[in-house]
Amino acid sequence: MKALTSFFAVLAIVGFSRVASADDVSSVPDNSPRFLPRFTARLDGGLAYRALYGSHFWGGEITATGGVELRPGAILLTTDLLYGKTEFGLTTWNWHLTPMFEFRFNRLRFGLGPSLGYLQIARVTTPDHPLYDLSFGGVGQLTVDIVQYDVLRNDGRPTPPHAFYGGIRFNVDSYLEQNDSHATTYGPTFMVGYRY
Amino acid sequence: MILKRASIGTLAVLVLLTPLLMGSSDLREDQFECEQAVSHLKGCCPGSFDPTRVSCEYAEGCGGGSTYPSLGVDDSKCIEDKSCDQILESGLCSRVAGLGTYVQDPDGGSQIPPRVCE
Repeated sequence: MKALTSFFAVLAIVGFSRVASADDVSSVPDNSPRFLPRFTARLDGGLAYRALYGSHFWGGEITATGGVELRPGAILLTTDLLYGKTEFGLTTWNWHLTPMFEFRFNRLRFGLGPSLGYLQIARVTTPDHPLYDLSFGGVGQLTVDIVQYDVLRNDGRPTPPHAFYGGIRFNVDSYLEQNDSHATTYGPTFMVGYRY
Repeated sequence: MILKRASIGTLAVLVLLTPLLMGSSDLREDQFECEQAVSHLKGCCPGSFDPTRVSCEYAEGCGGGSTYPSLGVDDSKCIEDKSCDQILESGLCSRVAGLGTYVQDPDGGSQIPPRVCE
């Protein structure tokens, strides 16, 4: 699981740097206005599902993102918080911090990144002492711009548009294995949001 | 610029290593399923059923003996699969309420509570 996460992280970094390098070394004269990197911020929310030990929990998830829009995509830092319930009503909190590399293909955006996570599940037998654990994992997300707002700076240079978007995010988390249970959670989040 | 990149890299490594530095509470399957089963019982059983009197705790003892949840994974999943009517008919509320803790001795012996769910 950790090896898989590392593989995706390396793949994303290598792929992103290669695209970026190809941009940097372009020696062909280009009369079009130069692309201008800019700060970006996003807020999205949606419904999340996570499987755990053959059981599951559902909930609402909110995600805040900041980063830089570059020509081939974006470099982002994402944090999300899920509040949910298991099928038998145990309250769950799930948090992630994810550095993400995102690639842009017209209205589509595809992002990948390793994540650090925390899961807390309330107990009914000892309400003051919930179950909790920290995790390593990976996140992949695919979004599509539903409505775009083109941005032209004062100097006429184009930058990626602001947009309302929708999409799906998939989390996989492997919890620290201090026992023989090998806890893993995984599942999708369906979200809509706004990108500045 | 190089120093700035190095600082960001160091910060990223530290953030990713945080779980190893902090340690964690076990998110064990037996504890989780026990809590799920007791929560289900709480929703089905009469008000006299007190979930806080059931132990879903795993604890490693100093001398090597460990305490396990009163309900094993199989019992917990069996309870989760039952409807409230089935739980009430089979008397699971009183049987689970009367369970003791399951302690595994250092020498490998154990006090295993009887299966409560068939």
